[in-house]
Amino acid sequence: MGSETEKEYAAFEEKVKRTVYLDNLSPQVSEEVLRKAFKQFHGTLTNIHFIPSYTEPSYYSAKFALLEFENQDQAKEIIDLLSDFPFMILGMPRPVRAFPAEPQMFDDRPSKAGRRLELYWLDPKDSDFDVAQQLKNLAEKHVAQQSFLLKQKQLEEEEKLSKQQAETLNTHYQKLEMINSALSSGSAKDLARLYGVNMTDVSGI
Amino acid sequence: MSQLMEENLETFKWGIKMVTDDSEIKSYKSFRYQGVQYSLHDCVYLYREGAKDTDIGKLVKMWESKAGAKRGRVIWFFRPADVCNFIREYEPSWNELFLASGEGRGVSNIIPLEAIVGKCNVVCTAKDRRNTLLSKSDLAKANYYVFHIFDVGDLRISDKFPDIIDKIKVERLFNWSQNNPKGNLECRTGLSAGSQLKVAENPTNTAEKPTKIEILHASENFEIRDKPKANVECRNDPSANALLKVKEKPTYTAEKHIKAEVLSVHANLEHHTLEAPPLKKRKILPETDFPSPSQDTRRWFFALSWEDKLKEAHEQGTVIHLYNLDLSHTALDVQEMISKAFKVKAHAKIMPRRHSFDIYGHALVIFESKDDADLIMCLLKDRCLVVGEGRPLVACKATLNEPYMTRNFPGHLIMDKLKHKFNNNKRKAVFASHCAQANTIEHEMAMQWRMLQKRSDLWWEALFKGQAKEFSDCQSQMMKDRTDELNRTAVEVTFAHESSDAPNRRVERPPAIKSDEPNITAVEVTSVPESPVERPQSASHPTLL
Repeated sequence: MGSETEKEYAAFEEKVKRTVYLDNLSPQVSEEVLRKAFKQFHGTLTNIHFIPSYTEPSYYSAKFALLEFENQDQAKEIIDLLSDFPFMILGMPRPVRAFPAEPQMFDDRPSKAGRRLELYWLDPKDSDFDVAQQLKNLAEKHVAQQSFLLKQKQLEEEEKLSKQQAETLNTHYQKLEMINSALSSGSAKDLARLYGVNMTDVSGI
Repeated sequence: MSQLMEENLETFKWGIKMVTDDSEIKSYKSFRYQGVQYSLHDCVYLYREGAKDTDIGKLVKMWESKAGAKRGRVIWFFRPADVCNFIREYEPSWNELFLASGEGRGVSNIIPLEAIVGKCNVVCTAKDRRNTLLSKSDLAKANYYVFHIFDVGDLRISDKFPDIIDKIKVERLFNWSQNNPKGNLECRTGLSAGSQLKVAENPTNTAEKPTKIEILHASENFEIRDKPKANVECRNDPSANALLKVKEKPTYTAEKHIKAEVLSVHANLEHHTLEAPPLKKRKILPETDFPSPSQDTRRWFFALSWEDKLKEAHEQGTVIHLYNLDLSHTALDVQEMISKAFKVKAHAKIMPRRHSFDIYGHALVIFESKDDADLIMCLLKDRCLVVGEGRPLVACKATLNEPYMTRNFPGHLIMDKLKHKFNNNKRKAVFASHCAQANTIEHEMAMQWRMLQKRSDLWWEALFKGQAKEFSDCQSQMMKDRTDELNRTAVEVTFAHESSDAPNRRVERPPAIKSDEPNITAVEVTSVPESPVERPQSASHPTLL
């Protein structure tokens, strides 16, 4: 029995080594999409698993996935590639990031061999009960801090950048539209004649 | 994007074809529907319009009729609710099913393959010599298990499996190893009808057992049979007359024989039975008193997917969010903890942690009743259940979020005007996943996102590291107190020899040694070294004066 769990855990660790963790995925990304997207790279995807987030607040919509490859080299290649070039899946310009996976990202990990589970109760009359209560409160506080950071800082910053970029894109677009309309309507030609600029010098016209 | 998703939902694709001598009907070994691969002898969930729950059946044949309709034949598994009236003296487990058998209505039906809503993992735990017993991990992965048959003629359950159920040899209905590609269903002439495949039932002497090839013949009579729901008056389910969504009822009266079927399970079976742990350890007989978790560590997963079960439990108030677990704990550990501490059954799933520096492990635990859940929350609040090296569990009400399909995603910009342009040209803009090329606006913006992502990494790291430090400081306090308390009973006095020139020197004491008496030299009493450790009130200490 011992060796079975050891073997299982060893197999799990091996799986972790060849799995890639992806974040910043759009909520509309599905398994099919990911498969198609990664087909263009070297390496065969054996398994895709989206990390479920049951209690994470619904205002944070990014998805996260674990991609399992055939071997560790393929995984490493993908990670390096995605860190060198920004890879877009289902939308731009927010790029997807890839990292090597870690054991705590898997929700179906087997138990490590040789671990014993010890637990004990503490009552108010125990001397270290107070400290334990403190620890509990601390844990609560920390978890609250984490969710606060997620909402206030992370999401806010992301939305800010997104809005900013949308505005920039808009202005670019308007600029191009203007140029386009000027060229097509012939007013550019008129202006050129007025200013004595040779139209053919301007490239692309 | 939505186009892709729609395509996914409606696809039906046949897989490997079986060779038969019937030119009109094309039989298959597998097919792909709604993105899931189904093969022969898979157990599937089937949905009937208006039913409260899905039906579960085992696919024994799949074909496409002349008219193009996709049909399958399933042998039914009865749920406990279906047969409760007939088995009053036996209390089935909630995830137990009964295989239909016998002569009469309700053993099997022909169904349209579109009625399939999902795959189900049903294992057979019967101690039949023809059945291969599975390993612990396989059993843990199963949705349901089958130990009895339910005879529709006698209306009784039995643990003796007959040789033939609905003209299918019962070996085909038993367990298949995961590696086994369900055998080769191709016609092989030249094999004599007499050879038999013996399934090694005793896992200890597998290698020696000879394995031969078995040839099965199956003939089908395609008559529609109703599931005997009308006969069974169950508490919850008033008689719904059970026809699945079969629009027309084809009756193929001619008997068809499938040619010699070769089960090439030789190597896989051996591998399989070697894995199976000895019988006595895996006693999975349904007992009314639940076996204590320390013996029985495998856990059954819910029939519905975890997500559905979670939603249901959330509505009923039976789910708790547990945290401050160690990161190395698994779902089984949590379930064991719960049953050790509270003696109740529970179902847990670990919530994966995405950040590397987060020290808190979280789990969602579903209990059987709201009372259990409430009681345990109260207990964990008032007292402290400490796990391992000083991590008291914290429980709170689980707040689940809605699925996030419809949310908009900051960072993905959509140019509406461009879309219009494309639509005018009747071009459908399909987004191809790609790497952004340098010198484009896209690349520039992507770099801005990269910056933000890096910054956010930094602030998360800072938070987690700070939290980890706070936590470990507090925790070390607790560990110290604990060891002090443990040493309290031993009365041990140690005198540290102090050097004469430094009477006020602080003496470092390792926490294990019980020395809360002031260090006193034989003569001097004045120099009491400062102690970094909190001194519990101890018994009298010797005073030398």
